[in-house]
Amino acid sequence: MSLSSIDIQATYQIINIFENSKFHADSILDTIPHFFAVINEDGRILRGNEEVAKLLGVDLEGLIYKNIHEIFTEENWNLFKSKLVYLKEAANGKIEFQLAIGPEKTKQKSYLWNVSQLQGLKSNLSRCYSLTGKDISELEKMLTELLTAQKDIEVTAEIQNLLLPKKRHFQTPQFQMLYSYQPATKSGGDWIWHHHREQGKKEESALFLLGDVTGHGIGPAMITAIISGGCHTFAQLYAKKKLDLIKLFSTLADSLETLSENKYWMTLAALELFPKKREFRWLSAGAPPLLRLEKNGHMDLILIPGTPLGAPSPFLKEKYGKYAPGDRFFIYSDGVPELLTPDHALRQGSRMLREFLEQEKNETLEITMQKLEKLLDQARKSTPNPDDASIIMIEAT
Amino acid sequence: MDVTPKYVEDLHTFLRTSSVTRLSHYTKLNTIQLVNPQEAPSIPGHWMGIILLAGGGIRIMLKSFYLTSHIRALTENFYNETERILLSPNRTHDFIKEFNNLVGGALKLALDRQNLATGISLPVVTRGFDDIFSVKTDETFKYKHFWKIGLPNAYLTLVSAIQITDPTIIKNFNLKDAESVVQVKNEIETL
Repeated sequence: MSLSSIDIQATYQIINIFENSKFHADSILDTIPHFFAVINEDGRILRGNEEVAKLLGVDLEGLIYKNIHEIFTEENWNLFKSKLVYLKEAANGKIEFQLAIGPEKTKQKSYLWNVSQLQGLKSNLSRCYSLTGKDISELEKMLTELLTAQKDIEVTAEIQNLLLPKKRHFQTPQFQMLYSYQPATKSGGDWIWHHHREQGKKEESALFLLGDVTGHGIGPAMITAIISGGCHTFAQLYAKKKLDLIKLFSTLADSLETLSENKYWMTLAALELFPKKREFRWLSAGAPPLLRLEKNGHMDLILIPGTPLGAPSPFLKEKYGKYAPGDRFFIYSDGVPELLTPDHALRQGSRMLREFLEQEKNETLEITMQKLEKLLDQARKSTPNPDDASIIMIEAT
Repeated sequence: MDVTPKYVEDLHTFLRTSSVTRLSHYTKLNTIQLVNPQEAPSIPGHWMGIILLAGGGIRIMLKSFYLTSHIRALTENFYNETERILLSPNRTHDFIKEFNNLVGGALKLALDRQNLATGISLPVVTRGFDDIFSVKTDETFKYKHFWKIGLPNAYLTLVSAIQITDPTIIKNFNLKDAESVVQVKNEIETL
């Protein structure tokens, strides 16, 4: 075999490699799931992919010299051309804009276009443009749905706020109360309420409730609405001493179990204070322990067992105790201690909460609450999926 | 406007005639026709086969633009209907490579007979679109010519581009009867 024949064979191998590589690269461009085309200044297609062919109703090899106008309305094609003027001024030689394709308003699809001018062409092709278009109609639809959902959540949040006590700070001759409600999203699964029973002009008892439904968002918010409705009805009976707390808890547990079919549970804590006897009663359906900070600085952790409302095989315990003027009570949802530790360690967070409240024993409730809310706000920013966090602070006078 | 020299016209004429006879023989179709369109589009087809002849102050490039469906129609005498429908793109590219080889080979032989030795490249197939980037070829190959051959609904668009750096070598060539001589003396063989 002559040397030139060997040269030709070697060259053939190289050409073959390049040819194959080119075929594969072209085939990738042909099948990318977005609009890709090169057009001349009249809008005629010089190169396009399968997505373009599909839109124009031809096969890939029939695309050349098809007019891209066909996919636009006349108005939108004029808009498209007018955008090309900005190419000259574009810093990176590319422009991006949004423009719909399709014949009628109802059948149009929104596309995000990226256009650049091709360089290094034959002299008879003065201007050619490379364009890619991405169908963003589904994305726009989802965005609209999301905005609608956001509106719904805002409305839910507004309604939920109606279920909370009107005043954040409430005071009677026997107590002062302050609460903080911080949902993880606009609407949450925490719920707070208080009710005062009077006999004559004297306050006979005060009841403070804090509920926490599993999860957060619209679903739990609806559960809190059910529980809140039940409690409002109960308030009438409570005032007339016709229904006891134990009965309330079991009625709510039955309702929740029936309605949510064990999908949603709610922890519920109730603190009842009797100022005449200076006695308190604590009921907990799976809620975090009650914290009582005595005036002398001693922190008492009152933990009693109980199952959340809606959970199977429910049971509930209650505990009575004495209190003195100046004693403070703290009822909270588990989101509070969870937020106070970076790794959401509930036990460690509970200890941190106790220590914080002990440190603040000489501060007013208002300042203590402000400081705690600041801590929770900071923690929420660095927590990827925070829980709702609510707390009631009560001080006996 | 520059007038195309006669020796360049002769080369184009040779290529036109040769392309028709080679395609007729290759496809076993006696109805292959030649058409000279008024205007050449920038990209005459989705696919493009290229072959180059060079040597002795002359460079000639032949580009054959085509569609797969047209090659399927032109090869109706090769394959039965099912085979034609299933004809893979690679087989249609091979067809064009071989066609370019035949036309380029005929020209090489004709130039040999005029004592001008040229080399011939391997045939390559790529997308017709790629031709828009052939700026250098566009500038250096001064003489261009295009024509169509085939059937009314299945054809190839051919473009020849010629660069001559030393006209003294070629200007006295006689290519007028070269194509008939090549045909008579050489049985056209296809792969």
